[in-house]
Amino acid sequence: MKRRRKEIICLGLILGLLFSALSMDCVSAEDGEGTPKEAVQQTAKGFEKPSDSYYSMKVAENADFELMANENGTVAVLDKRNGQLYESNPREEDPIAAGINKTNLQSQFYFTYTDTAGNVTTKNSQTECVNKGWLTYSQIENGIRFTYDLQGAGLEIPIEYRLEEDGLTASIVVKDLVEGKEDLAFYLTDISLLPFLGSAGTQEDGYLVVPDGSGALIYFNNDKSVYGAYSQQIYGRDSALITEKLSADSEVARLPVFGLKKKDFGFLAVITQGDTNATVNAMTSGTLNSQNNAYVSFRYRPFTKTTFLQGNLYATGGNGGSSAVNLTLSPVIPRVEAFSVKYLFLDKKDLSYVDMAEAYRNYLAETCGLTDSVETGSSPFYLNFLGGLRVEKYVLGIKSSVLEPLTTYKQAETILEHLKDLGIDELVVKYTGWQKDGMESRIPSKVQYESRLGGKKGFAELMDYAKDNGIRLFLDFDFVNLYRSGNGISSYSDAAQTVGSTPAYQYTYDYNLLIKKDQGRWKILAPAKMTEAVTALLDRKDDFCGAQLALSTLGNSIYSDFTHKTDGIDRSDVKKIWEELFRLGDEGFDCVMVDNGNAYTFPYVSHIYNVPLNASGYDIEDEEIPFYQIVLHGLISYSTEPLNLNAMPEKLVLKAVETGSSLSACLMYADNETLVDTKYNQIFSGNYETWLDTLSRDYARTKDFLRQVSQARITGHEKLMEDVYRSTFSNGTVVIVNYRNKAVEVDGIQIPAMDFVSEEGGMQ
Amino acid sequence: MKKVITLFLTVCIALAVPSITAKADYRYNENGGNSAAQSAYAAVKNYNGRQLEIGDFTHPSDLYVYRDRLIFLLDNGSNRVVVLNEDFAVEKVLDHFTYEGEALDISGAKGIYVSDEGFLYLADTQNSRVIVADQDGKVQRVIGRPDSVLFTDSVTFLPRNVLTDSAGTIYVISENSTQGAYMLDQEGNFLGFYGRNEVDVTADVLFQAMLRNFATKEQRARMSNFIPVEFSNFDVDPSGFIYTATAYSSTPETASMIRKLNPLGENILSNEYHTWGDAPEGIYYRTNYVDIAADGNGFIFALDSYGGRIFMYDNTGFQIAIFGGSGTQLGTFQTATAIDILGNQILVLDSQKNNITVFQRTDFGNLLVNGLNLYNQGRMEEALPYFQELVKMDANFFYAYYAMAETYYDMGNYKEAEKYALLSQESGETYSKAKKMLRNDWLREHFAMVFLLVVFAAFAIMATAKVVTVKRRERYWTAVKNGERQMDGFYGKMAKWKYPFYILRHPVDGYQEMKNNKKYSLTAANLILLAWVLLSILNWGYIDYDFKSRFTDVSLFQVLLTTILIFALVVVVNWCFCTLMDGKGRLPEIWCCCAYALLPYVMCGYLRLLLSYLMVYDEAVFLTYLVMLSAVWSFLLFLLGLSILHEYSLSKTIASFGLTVFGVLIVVFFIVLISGLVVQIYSFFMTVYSEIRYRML
Repeated sequence: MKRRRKEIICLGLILGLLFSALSMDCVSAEDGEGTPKEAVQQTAKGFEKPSDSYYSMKVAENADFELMANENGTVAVLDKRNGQLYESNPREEDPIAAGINKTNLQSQFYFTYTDTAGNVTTKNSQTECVNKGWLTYSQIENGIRFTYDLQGAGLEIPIEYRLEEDGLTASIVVKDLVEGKEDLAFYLTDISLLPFLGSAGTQEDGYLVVPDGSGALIYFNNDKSVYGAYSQQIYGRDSALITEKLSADSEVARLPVFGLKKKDFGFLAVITQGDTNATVNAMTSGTLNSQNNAYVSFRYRPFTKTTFLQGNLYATGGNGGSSAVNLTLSPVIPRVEAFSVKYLFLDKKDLSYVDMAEAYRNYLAETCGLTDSVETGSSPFYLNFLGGLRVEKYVLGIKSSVLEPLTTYKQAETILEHLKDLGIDELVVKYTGWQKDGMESRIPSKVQYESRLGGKKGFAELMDYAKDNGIRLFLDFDFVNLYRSGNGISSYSDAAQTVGSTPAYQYTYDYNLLIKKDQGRWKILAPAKMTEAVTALLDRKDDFCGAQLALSTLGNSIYSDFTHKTDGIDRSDVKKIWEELFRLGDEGFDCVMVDNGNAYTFPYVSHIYNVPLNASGYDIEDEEIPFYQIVLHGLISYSTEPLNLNAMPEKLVLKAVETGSSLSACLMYADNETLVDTKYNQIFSGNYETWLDTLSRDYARTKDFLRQVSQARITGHEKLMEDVYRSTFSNGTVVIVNYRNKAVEVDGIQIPAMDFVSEEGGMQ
Repeated sequence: MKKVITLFLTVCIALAVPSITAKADYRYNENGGNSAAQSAYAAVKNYNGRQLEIGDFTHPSDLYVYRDRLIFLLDNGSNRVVVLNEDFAVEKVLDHFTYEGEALDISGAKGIYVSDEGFLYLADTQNSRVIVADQDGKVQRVIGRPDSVLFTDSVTFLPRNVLTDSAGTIYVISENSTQGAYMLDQEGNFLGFYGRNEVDVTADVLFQAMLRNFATKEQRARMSNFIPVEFSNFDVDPSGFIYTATAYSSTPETASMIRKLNPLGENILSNEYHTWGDAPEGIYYRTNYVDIAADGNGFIFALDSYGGRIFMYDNTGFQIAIFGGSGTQLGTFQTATAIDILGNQILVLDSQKNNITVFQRTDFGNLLVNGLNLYNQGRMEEALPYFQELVKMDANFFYAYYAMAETYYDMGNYKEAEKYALLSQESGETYSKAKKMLRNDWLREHFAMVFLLVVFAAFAIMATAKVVTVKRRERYWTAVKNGERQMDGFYGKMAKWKYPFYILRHPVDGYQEMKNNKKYSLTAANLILLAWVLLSILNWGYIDYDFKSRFTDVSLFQVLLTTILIFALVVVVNWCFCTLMDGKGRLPEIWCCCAYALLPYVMCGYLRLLLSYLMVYDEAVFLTYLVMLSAVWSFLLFLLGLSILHEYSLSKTIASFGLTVFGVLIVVFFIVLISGLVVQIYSFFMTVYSEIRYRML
């Protein structure tokens, strides 16, 4: 009996030893709770020694890179091609940083959370986890996973680093993220990942690339940190969150990327998962610390604060009354597996943003099969026709809403004839507001031609004309804005809701105060209804009379639905719906067009109208670059902003040349005065007659050049001197553009004021 | 009762909130609204001290452009003056100011000015002095607080801005001085005050002034004084006019936030047609003008530090462009402090961003400036093509339409003048002028024909009327002779529907007949009412522009309310009272009687509608009389009709009328009361609902 017992004990011991040996490299979190420090010490042995002795673990290695880490969460990637080490946190002591800014520098992420009273707090991983010894880690394939136990906030955030052939992927594993541990009522709202990866100190030269509009550069140590950091949401703000007051006009970040360049190396970071919830941040040295860094932060949970003011507000000079804050959290959270960023490490002599754009282009080609859809020798002119608009008019003295035709189908033909006669022989037309009720129609699940614009018969005639003359015509469908019920969509039950379960109203804003105007507001269609609505349209391709599909609003706006009902949906899931719809559109039609499209549309569209040529001009930015254009040139045909609405059209034409963009105009047949009293009065110069000469002249001026480079990639772009730029194309064509008011000479070539000189096969 | 107001604050951690359609530039219209505007100036560059490689600026407070060539920037935080040339290259940095061999600290200075001779004038607020230096930083003179019997010891001299005129007189704005600018001669002797703001004579001011006469000394001491507001900054243009800017202040309200002063200190900009500053409808909005600049053509640029915007006015004070904004982007400001003009560029200094922003005039701006220059010089025809181009580029530019209307009027092209006057949405003066000329031209051309037609028509009508009456009498007498009719008067057999017209001419007979023979026609009455409603609708929508009401937003309900509903109310109330007062009239009879009485008013209304196309606004008095006369006529018919109907004496009729009015007022009062209560109850439940909603969910 005793023997038997001994045997069992021995067996148990052996099994136990075996088990612990097997689980050597997998230190579990449950151990961590008791004696975390001990656990950490034990597991360091699971890894090989890395090539840099500062780090204790070599996590993974491949042909070009080596990933190493420390028990305290810091990671680094060694680029073996040039010996450059990209570290998650700067090693040297920072002379400026103090307090939280000092520990921020040592952190792998910051996180923002809120309590039920609406107090928003931002803390970092160093003080809240690592310093307290609550960090654990485990090995994963080609990488490492750190689990940050943030007990003070009741959170557990797992972060994974994975080494890949072309770089590093860092992910916040959303599906394993734990909130409200130990019944702590804190809610995670944002996480900023790897704020200092590869950051540059005060002695280094280089710049940060941010996706603002066309793209912008922020030079290291530009002494502009006092102006505040660059911070911009990818794909613009979520229109399901209501904006009470507009801040100044700005372009939207359409590409989920950012970059950092030091002398001959650097990285381009692509936000691969959770891009819809991402905000790109960039800052330079001087104020908070002495680093120049760019990073991404992810929005996990949106919320609104409602303030109840109580008592008599007007007593004691407006300070009477108390206020109670009520917090409303979004009932939907992202259902993505992870928030991931892929850092593509680049190695090239005199690396520039052009190489980064190329890296992004290659990335797009690999991951979503982006191929070129541009024809050789094409230089289209993009036209946006405005069809009809419902306006308030006096009929027999009584105000009523009637359709005002801006461009009928027949008139559209007239304008096209005019332009053709003037030598604009290649036209791509986007027809907005062509359908029943014009620009503010019902959700267009059906193809309904407006009888006051000419009816289906009239449109068929226009299409005949277009076909005979090789004009590509796109019918624009607005599935986003929900102005009225109809076509199976109810403006009451099918509208997207904002946090707090009221309709997510869209507003126009007052010009002087920039606050929203309550009259004339409208709603947006719930994303859950979108598939049904769009597929219904795609099934009716026969009604298109041969026209192609333009999905302007779907291409440039993406929004959540914060309803408490079951179909509440986060932007990250909405992106999947949008992508699927674009895929279906691409399948059903030869060409699909969008207006200033977000990156998720690229694989499916062949025309992009109205691509921004500028950045927003944030004070911290130093240069505007045509990053968007460099990525897409030769792959997708795109146009500038409409010439006729620009205050400096001449400059715009030059910009078009510099970036290889086709020109565009937004025209109508009706008089300019027609739109004066409407909310479209920012289209203050749409009448076609006004612009015929200018447009044909500008087209003739740029046609040959654009034709020459239509299928080429942009392989070089540089600023030669103030207001003088040079672009190089893959077929060898080089163009120098001079924005100055006087002529300049570059390498012996005279470029007249406000003009450009292009040369095939390059210049010496 | 606790008032509970809910405010929805969306917390956006991301800073950038892009606008979908908002464009920063806008412009005010004649009617007070604002609309998008094509940019006249666009921000192109900004420069900070680091970019200029002279080290950061430290809260610079002023800049001045000297002879369109040199930019003087008062970087007082760094105790220096930076001089840039027109290409924004550093010409020199004056960081040593010496006075009689000793270094002078200029860090307390707030204003800089460079005289034509090239001397720097620094308004040193902290040290109560004005420093005059040459361009090498050698101080020539220091002017302290001037001596004058006017100044008690409590008067402080805190120079904030300074400038000189061509005669060498120095003008100094001192902080907290409401007397206007100090005028000093070159030696610093006090010459007087210049150009103080006037107190606007408002009803409140008059009332207070009146009260003052009755108040005791103690009460008077406690009453508020109406002290004019100090102006915040000034500038002098090349022709010697001094421009002042005043920040918005509610006590007392200043109408002239921007003034153009002649050498006597009188404002020569009219306030009549202009709005100064930001003036949104119904919302209080502060426009804090901190600086002003005027160019050789009299274009005025005023800088609002509150919204970071630049307001551009032409030399008549017409507001033509608004640009800029607040924010962290190029062309927006944190604390905009100074503005000046460099050729076709506008320079704005931001003391918080520590940089200069350069706005470049756009193609549109060039057209604007050139066109308005010609126009304001009186070369209207030359300006015309500019305006034509301007409205092509920006249909919302109403002032251009107005200028074109005026120009065409001057050229004698009244047709076009009328067209553009309509587009300009202005008050209708030009339209009226043009219409009059068009009408007179037409009359002159067709005078003979018109005259003949009128004479012929008059004869024809008279003759026909005569013939018809004679015929009718003949028929009547024949019928009586033949025994087909009794002797019941011409009108004994008159159809019911003809009574309204009969009553027009023979009210007593008519009403009597109508009552005696029960000749009420509800159809006729209702037709008249219908005509009234129609007239009311037409008056809103189809009367000529000249006579159109400015408040064109009218619904069918409003139309009905002001016609049929009020009519029905009067009839019913009258019936109620008269039944109590032994009136004999029944409800349908009163209805008809009152409707018939309206006929002259309605007919004249239609006449007015037609005449509105012929007459111009100057002649409106004729139409007014017409309507008034018809109203009196209708009123008399109404009284007469009621008195006959109810068989009342005159005094009783008047009494019953008075009671009717009283009754109507009571009913209206109750309706207002009840609807007010309903609204209160509704809003109460809505507040409770939203409270519950936001607290429970």
